Amino acid sequence: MGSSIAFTPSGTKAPVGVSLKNQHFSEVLKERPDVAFFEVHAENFMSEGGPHHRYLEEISKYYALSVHGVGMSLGSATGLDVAHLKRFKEVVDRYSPWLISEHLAWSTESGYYLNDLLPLPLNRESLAIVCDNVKHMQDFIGRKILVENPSAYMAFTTTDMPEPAFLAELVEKTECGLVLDVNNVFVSATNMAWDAEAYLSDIPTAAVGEIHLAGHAVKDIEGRAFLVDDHGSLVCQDVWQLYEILLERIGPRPTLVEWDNEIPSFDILQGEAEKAHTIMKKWAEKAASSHG
Amino acid sequence: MDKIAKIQEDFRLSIHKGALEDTLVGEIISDGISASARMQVYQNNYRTTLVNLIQEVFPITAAFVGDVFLRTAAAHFIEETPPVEAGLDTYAQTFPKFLRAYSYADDVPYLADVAALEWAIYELQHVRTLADKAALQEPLETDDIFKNPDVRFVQSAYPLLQLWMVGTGQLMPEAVHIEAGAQNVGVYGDGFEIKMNTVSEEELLFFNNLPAKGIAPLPELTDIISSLLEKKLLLNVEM
Repeated sequence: MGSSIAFTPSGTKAPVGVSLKNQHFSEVLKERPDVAFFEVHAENFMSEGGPHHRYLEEISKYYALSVHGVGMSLGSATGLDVAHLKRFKEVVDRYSPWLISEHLAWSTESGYYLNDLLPLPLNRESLAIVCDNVKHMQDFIGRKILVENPSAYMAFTTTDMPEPAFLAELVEKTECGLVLDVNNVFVSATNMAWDAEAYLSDIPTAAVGEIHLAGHAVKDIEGRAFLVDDHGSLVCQDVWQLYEILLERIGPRPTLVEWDNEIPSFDILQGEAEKAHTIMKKWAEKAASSHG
Repeated sequence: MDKIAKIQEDFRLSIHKGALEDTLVGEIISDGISASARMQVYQNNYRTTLVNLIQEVFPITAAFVGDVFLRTAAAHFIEETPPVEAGLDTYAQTFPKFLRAYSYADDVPYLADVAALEWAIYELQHVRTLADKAALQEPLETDDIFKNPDVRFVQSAYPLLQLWMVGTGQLMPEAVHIEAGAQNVGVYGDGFEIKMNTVSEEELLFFNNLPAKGIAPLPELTDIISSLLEKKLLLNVEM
């Protein structure tokens, strides 16, 4: 497979990036903020034209890019939509991103697009489907991808594999890497009453090529706190703690702070990136002193 | 049908219908929170994201009817026209056509035309690549004229450009009378800017009958050509 995953994109100081939103294009070009990379959603750059392409072409001269797909539907029982795959490849070919990622989820059925990251029962049947689709995508675009653990609001009675075990087999069978979204772990663990720390300790660490952090909304559903992964607020304290625990376990990895709704000023996003950077530095100092 | 395929079909139907399919109830673990409440989170995500998208594309249309009306119309549009591809950049393209037949908008008969104009602007700004006009000029003689390739026309039985100016706050509502008559608007890309002008029926007819490739100016149509050149709907090599 084409690309290996390095910890730090060349020419950058620290492997912490943020979502790149339209609202921040001009500021990013003018101020050149001190972040290592930017993430864009592939689907937002599939149109043939528009000023967002002009901005991204310019921004990509100075920053590494992570292209993140939200519509490939890697869990679709009917396989991938070749037209979408072609559009995705065009984005990859146009911008040569440092990282490419998608989700352990599905979103298309009978020709309809459901515009969300929908859950799968995790078992042998779904593993075979996802493996076929990941291999298809990697072969088609000629690049290794990272597959992200999704936020989940439900689980299925036919699930018989824990998600970390499912992801470990997926990595083994397809040679893909993983995006470990710590917020998604926290959201799913809260909604399904499982242990987030146990999840982190079961994940195949060598495969983690990127970590995601984001905010979520807290709802009351049938009298219980229920978390919705809306990427519309600061990363919560519980998720920062899980991030520290994760770094203790696997060491530093490229880390992205995502923000997709209620977009704040760039300073706020950069502040979140700084927090991640500080935790990473703390880990590095601790690791250095324990080796010294 | 395999088990996963059946679950995905039932899941899709549950989202489109806004109600949990009976066949899915036994598939979803409902400890503490019911299966239907869990499904509702996905139903809400689907609907809210698409309604937000329509609202972002049509803020001027919303100015005439209010956000609540627009969001309700968008929800009906989504039910009638669910997305069929993951790239949503052209999903809102048929919303103006939907509004034209939307009975709740009968009291605002120009609404669909305002939405069509708003889509034309959005499409030129965000979706399409503006043509390389220098490349188009290469085979032409110096006084040849050619169509601006980045033009969209919206025909309306109402004073559309004036209504647009009301929607954008450039004109007071009382300055416009919808009985004032038909107005066609040509929207075009000019560098990084999108501009618009009114276009007469004669100008529109002439433009539409013009071949795609450039032609030499015709003396008997000088007025129409001059007007279209001034509005940059037609271009010549020097422009």
